Amino acid sequence: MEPVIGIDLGTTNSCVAIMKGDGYPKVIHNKSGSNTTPSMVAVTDSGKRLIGQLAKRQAVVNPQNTVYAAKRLIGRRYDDREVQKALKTIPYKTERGPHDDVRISLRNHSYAVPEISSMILNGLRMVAQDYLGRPVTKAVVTVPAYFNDNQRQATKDAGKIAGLEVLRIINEPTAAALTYGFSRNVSQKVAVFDLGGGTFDISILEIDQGVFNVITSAGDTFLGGEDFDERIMEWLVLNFAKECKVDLRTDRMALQRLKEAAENAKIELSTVSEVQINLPFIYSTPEGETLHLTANLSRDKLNELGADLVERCMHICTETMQNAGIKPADLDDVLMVGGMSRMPAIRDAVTKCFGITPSYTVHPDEAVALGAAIQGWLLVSGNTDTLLLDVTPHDFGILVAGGDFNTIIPKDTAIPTSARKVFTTMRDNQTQVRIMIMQESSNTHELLGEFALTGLREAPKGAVRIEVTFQISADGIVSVYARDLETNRCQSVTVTASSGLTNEEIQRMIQENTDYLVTSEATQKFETLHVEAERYLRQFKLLLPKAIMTLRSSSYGDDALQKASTVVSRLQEAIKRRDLNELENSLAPLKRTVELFEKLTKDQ
Amino acid sequence: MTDNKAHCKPRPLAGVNVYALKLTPLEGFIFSQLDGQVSVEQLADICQLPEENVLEAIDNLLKLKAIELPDSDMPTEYSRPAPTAKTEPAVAMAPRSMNEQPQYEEGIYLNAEQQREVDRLLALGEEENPLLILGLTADAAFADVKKSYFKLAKVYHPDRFYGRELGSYQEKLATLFEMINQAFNTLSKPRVFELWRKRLAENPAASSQLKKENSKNQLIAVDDEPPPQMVPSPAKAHSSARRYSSPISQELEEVRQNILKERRQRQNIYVDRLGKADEAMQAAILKLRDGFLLEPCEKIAMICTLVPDNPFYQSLRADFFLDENHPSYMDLLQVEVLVDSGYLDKALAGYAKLSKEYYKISAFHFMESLLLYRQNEVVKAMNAIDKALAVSPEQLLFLLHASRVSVACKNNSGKDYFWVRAIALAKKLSCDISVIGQLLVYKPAEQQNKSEKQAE
Repeated sequence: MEPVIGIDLGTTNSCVAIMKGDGYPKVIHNKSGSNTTPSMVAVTDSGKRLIGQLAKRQAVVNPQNTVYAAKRLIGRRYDDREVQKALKTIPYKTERGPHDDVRISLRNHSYAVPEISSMILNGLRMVAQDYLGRPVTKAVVTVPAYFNDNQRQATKDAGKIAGLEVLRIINEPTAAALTYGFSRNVSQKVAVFDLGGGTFDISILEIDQGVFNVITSAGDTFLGGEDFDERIMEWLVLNFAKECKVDLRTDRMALQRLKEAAENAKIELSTVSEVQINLPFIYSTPEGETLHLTANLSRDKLNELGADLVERCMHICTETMQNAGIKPADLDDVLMVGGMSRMPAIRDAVTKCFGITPSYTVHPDEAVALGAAIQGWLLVSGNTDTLLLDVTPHDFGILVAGGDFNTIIPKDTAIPTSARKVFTTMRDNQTQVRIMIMQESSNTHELLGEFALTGLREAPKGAVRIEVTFQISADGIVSVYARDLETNRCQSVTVTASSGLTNEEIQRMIQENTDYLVTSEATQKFETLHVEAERYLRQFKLLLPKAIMTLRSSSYGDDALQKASTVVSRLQEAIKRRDLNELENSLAPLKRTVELFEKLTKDQ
Repeated sequence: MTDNKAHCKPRPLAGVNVYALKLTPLEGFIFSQLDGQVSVEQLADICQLPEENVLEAIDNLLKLKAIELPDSDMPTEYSRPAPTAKTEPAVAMAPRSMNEQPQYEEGIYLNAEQQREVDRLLALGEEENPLLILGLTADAAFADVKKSYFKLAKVYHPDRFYGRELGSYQEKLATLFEMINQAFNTLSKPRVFELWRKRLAENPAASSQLKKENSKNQLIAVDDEPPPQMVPSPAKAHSSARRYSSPISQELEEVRQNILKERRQRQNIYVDRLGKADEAMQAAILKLRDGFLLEPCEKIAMICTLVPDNPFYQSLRADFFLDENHPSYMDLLQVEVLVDSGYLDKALAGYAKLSKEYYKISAFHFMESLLLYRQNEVVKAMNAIDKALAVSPEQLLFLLHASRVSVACKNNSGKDYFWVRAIALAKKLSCDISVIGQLLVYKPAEQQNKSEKQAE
């Protein structure tokens, strides 16, 4: 059976897991030995792509070409309020893409956001491949439960670009619950509180007879650890401005350092009550004076800075429970998922809100990837004991005359599902209708896509009947069909998001990605051979004087020396031109020459 | 022989000379509607005529070899257990239907037994009582809904069949799980569950269809009983089990039963929607405000909620009823509900009142006329359609209806006139061929040559 990996593609950190033969899932650690990989991508001077820890390490010196938190931009329109807010603080360059989407410009090459995510996915795939020692092409990828259709589609595209067959997109809290309840014969109602780097989700599930049935899901796709980091950054910048009259936000490198320091301080404050933030040489004034930043941040201060963010989470939690008619007393456990769930202020608030001390049963960073791996295994193994039943977190419907939203599939409907409703025209002799596909979440409407049904019969208003069918797949991806009930004329659209990528673009990106894989492999080979060649060259130079002494006396000496010098010059030329073939070809003669020299000098 | 003919779509045979067929106007009309897209069930609705007439017409057309019924074992159709096997208990039926339908797909993930089970569940139909889909009986408790949903989900969730070879069952399974999901969504509210449970308890015919039926007559008797809920069955008027002499009468009988069944299922939906009357009410208000027409269930919901102490009633009055230029929506709704629920006489009185009060709105006259025609009051229908045409002379629909009525009138004065006007208008509007086809069938005999030219 081909392995299916589970990938938790996070805002700040990602994680990959696999189902082992003994029926237990396991997180795969990356080359640097840690279980999570930073969701960062960078392009270096030489055009090399860096992913994960490598990208993070060089972020301070290469802020313009290091992308982080791409998940906050994926599947969104350039003009979205959230995107515009994010653009203010990110140091890398962005631009408007051809579909109103966000494009990220690195070293004069413009990348779509799914492309960036695909690089991270690819990095994680490599991690899994190294561990398994065999190629991996199938994956289950998680997304926040509250991700909308565009964001899901874009994530699926990212998988495609990375050359992965994404078997299923599943929701992060559901995945965490799967890890919690898998192969434990429990019958419980649990809430999953998932506060990650960039998104917040709350899901309430019922686990019974091995069925994981999601009752309700809600969340905020723009609320997470990054927001807390930003609060700390703002506070640091403000203090620094007060003290030194300098605005650090104008300096990209300073921003990057501040961000890192803020993140570290926040993490440390989960265990200690006060930290000192030290950033020496953060800024030099035009007069040549260097300024240092030192600040003391206490846990109380952090709680104060993020109080409204915590409040927002709790508000969503109470509202969700109310809407689903669930009382805190009904719940058996609250699972805490995501790095932010370690923050004491969050834990306290959750305890207060649900009346339960949150559980430590699942690992906040790894539970999601483990759940994804389990789901992948369930799909291909033919297991019949465990099943995930998810719901849609949004209302779906179309816009009707007057700009009103008409729900076709309500929130918390079990998926996959389909529903149809009959509509009619509102003007006499109307020959076409525009179907505006909308999604409603917390009273805001988002346009997912639109299309026109044309060729209607000319008739008085209300006479033509149009049936609109919504279908939501098990991945949570929406398709819409409209049918004229008289002529059976049909129009349909899989909502590929007005901000998404077209098929051709994805194909091109897949192509580019494989191109890059080939060239990258070639570069790597060249580097190895180059190192080897340099070693032999050094040896050659060391041996040369002695060899000349020995060879001079022999009859064939001049000839041999002549040949040796040709080989060396050929090799040096190859290195200069970075010509892999030539290097390969000339390395072997050089090796022989060196061996010969060694023998000669030893004989002497 | 299977009873899925009601779903299949009769299509006209190629090369039939319509003029040589000697069709009655009704048969002509039905013939013009058949395009291989319309199912027999839909046809009865389109024609707005008593089912007997439609079925007789189809019977005749089949005899005349003008149309054909597509093969019943087309891959997209799913077979139901044969009603002819009703004298035997269900257990004995299984091997027999195997013999009758040996075309089970081989080499796919499901074995023959599983395939049969999928077909059986699918045949229960989306609009059947959701309790049956979840395999529940009338004495089920609310907690059982979830239990049996989980049980079914474990078997039929698409995750179970990921990447498996399923053949034509790929689509069937997807539909089936959506059906199961819908049944669960419907029944997940205790109040709605109670409504459906009561229905099942009062009318066990549907559930026993596969198990208990001993004779066909018994089934018909149950079928024709009015459903226990507030909506009276429109099928009551045609309750006697008619016998057809033609060889296909059996099939037609089944078709008729299906139509009745569909009606009942539709009423089931109304009951379901009534469970959410408040929701429907709000949606209906929005729709009305936007000038959309209401679905029948929404109308019923509205009437039900329209009691003076209901806050919606107040806001509705403010929004609609005090408008001088607007027809009284309340009256209109009541009339439409009456039509939907089969009280044609009362509905007729309602339309008469409406068309008297709002003489400028031709649609009321038209509807009145339609109803009258349905009750064979052709002369009155003619008068009503005359009034409608006086207000909207350019309505093709009205003209078509007028020519249909005038033919039935046996009063030749009007029919050429309406026909000529209709065809002129159809040309002006450059209608498609099906409309022209309808007109051709209506044409009076003496116009035959002329119309042939025009058709060319």
